Amino acid sequence: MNGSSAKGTEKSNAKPVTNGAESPLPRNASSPTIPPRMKNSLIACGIVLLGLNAASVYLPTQNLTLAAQTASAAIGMVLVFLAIRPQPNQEPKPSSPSAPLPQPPRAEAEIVAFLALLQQHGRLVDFAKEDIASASDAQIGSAARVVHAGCRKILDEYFEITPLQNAEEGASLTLEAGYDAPAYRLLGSVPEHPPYKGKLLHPGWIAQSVKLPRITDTNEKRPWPVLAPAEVEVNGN
Amino acid sequence: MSNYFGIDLGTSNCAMAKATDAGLPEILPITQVINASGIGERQLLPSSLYLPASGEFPEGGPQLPWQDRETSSFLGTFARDQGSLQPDRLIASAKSWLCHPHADRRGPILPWGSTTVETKLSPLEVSRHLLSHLLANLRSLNPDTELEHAVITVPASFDEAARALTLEAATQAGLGEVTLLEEPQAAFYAWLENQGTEWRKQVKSGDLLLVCDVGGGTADFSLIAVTGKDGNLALERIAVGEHLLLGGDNMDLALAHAVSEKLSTAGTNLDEWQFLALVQAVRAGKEALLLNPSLQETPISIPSRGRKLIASTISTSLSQEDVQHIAVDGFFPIVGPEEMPVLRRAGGLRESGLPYAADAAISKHLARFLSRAKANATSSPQLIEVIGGSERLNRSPLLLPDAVLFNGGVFNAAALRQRVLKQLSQWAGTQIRELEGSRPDHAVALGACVYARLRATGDGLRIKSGTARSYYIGMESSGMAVPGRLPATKALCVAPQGMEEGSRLAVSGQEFFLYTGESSEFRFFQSEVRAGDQVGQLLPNANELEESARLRIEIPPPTGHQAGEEIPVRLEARVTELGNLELHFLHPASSESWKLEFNVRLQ
Repeated sequence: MNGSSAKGTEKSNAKPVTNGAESPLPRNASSPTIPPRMKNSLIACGIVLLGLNAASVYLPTQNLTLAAQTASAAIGMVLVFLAIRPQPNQEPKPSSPSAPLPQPPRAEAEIVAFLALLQQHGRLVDFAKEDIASASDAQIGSAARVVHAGCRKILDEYFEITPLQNAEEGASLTLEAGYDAPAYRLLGSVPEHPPYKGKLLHPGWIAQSVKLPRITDTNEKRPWPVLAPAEVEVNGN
Repeated sequence: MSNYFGIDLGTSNCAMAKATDAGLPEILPITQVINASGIGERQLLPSSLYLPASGEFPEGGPQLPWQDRETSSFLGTFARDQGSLQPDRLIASAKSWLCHPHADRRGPILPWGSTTVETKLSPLEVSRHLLSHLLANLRSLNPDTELEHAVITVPASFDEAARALTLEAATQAGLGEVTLLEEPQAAFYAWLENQGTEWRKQVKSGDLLLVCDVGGGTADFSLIAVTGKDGNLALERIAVGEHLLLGGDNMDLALAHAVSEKLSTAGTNLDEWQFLALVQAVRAGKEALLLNPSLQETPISIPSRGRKLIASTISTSLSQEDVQHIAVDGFFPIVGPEEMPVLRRAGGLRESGLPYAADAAISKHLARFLSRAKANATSSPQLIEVIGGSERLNRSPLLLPDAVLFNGGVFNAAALRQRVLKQLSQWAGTQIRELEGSRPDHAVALGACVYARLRATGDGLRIKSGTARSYYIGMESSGMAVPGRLPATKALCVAPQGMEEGSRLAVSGQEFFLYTGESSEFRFFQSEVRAGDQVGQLLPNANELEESARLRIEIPPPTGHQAGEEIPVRLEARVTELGNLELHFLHPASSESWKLEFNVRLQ
């Protein structure tokens, strides 16, 4: 038979197994409803930012105060995300009885899986778990580069992160009544009613899109994946 | 509204793009196994296939939504990452095996040289697996999608056999009817689409354009001539390069070796795993240094193997000098137009495996391409007219372009684009310009879907491009026997360069004799530099051509003829609508015919 012009005959074999809630398309931040699993990604995102900020504290050129501010802002961001999250009330339903989906993975499993990615690429767990009391700043700085490169790669791959505010740090701004309250954290002496006038300390961050990996290997024996598998070098047959 | 799909079936990565009747084409996310516990979406699907040991994933490991538990291999990101730790179980660069003339491309030979894998795969099967994955991914996005008339890109350097095998893999994967498009042309279509009507401001009639595509593992060149009157420009692809296994990965390896040697001199030796981490780190370092020439060096951290990250991370640096010396001067040295690449290593024996380029100097390979393009154009009066007369041929030993379109990840670095332009300008004695607005990373997939739309709607400018090579069949001489001398094999041109899709050419006025009923050998030859040869032309000695295939087959005798009889036949070459080259033997007396595909099978 002519290999080039024969029509495909086995199309019916590849029936798709999907449903609306589990669409593999990247989720778009502009969609009106936020899927329940967003919660997990937000927490995970907080973990990354904390990790990054922890790393940045040790970079010799960094100003400690600034780093501390950044870290606190990151925590703030997690809180903001958690505040805006919807109640996880809609469970994904299989679209057809012939293609039953496995039980939706639990939130813990999703977070552990994401933390495993940060460990795999950025050695985040190794970094945080190691005793650094006797290590020199140069050693820590060198290790921080590994953490930085890996965590940043993961952030860039799974989130589209942009500043929440386009204004420069230190710029003056006024928040009128009805402002997007969850997107701001007010510090200092705040009057009872808006408008609130102040100075921007940190422009904030927002994840414009989130496309986290979906875990596949949970079972009753182990409800969440291992953080980092033990590595064994095998030598030949 | 219709959808048009383009597939970049790359050596290192695959990508897929979709165009609609209106609006800009887009890259589609590809669901794949990300690590041992999860799946996710990426824009690129690494063209790596990992064959796990049977005890590695007793419960099947991570599964894609469309996969069954029986799957015995992984592909994509997880395959690439896991395979880098177990190279013996990793199939990478299968596409380069697909155009390796001395490899058994249907035989289970990959991973090449592996001693641990029990069930190996053929290069053809690997392509099929990749295409099946892309199709399943598309169906999972949209169950009703039909991939009919999708466009798959192949290197311009792919010969007919490799093209036919790609089409076969697509059929086996269930894609239905697909069309092939050369990658440099796809990059050019993406540029045209991106420019809209503005592209006419960058090129004019009489221009010769070079598409210079250097990816991770391969380099691919093409020349496109711009002809016609100003309001009505036409494009024609007039030369393609040879398959070159040389690219950005070679640069990263060379830099990593330099850093590793520096460490070794200082008493630190890296194990294999650390060396892999070093390659990743120097890639990022190289990009940073190329982007910012005022940066003297960039620190490199190589993590330890065990869990003590802080105590045992190795700290070193990659210097601007190394990057300039090794990546820029080593791979893009400024050379004279006569300096050709060393084609073979000095050693008399070569380890079997892929024929990686022996000379890392991409500039020299470019010189060779342009010099062969000149030889090709010189041989054909028709081509001389297309490039605007012989004046261009007299200027230089090379057929030099007026402008360059860059493609491939390597050319994200402006410094390397500048270096190529400087080299070309020096050869030309005048400034060679860059076509602005290229998108080196996704252009091939985007261009492929643009071309799919163009084919379906007929709306847009098409690059005229027939067969890139001329094809010949070996012919036994009918001379007298001379003791001690084998008769030279003559070569009959059956398909001249530039044969277009859907065309057929008969070797007219000549009859040949075919041995039937017993096994006989057919030899096929090709050439990239003989545009002037006409169909039916007989070359006295096939040695000056490149042998592309040798086939031993038995042709059954037609009804009423005995086995072992010689029967008179006519020859006809056809290029199918999909760009597949076929050779037909017609036996007028019995109206029977036999078809020989160049990949090469008999029906």
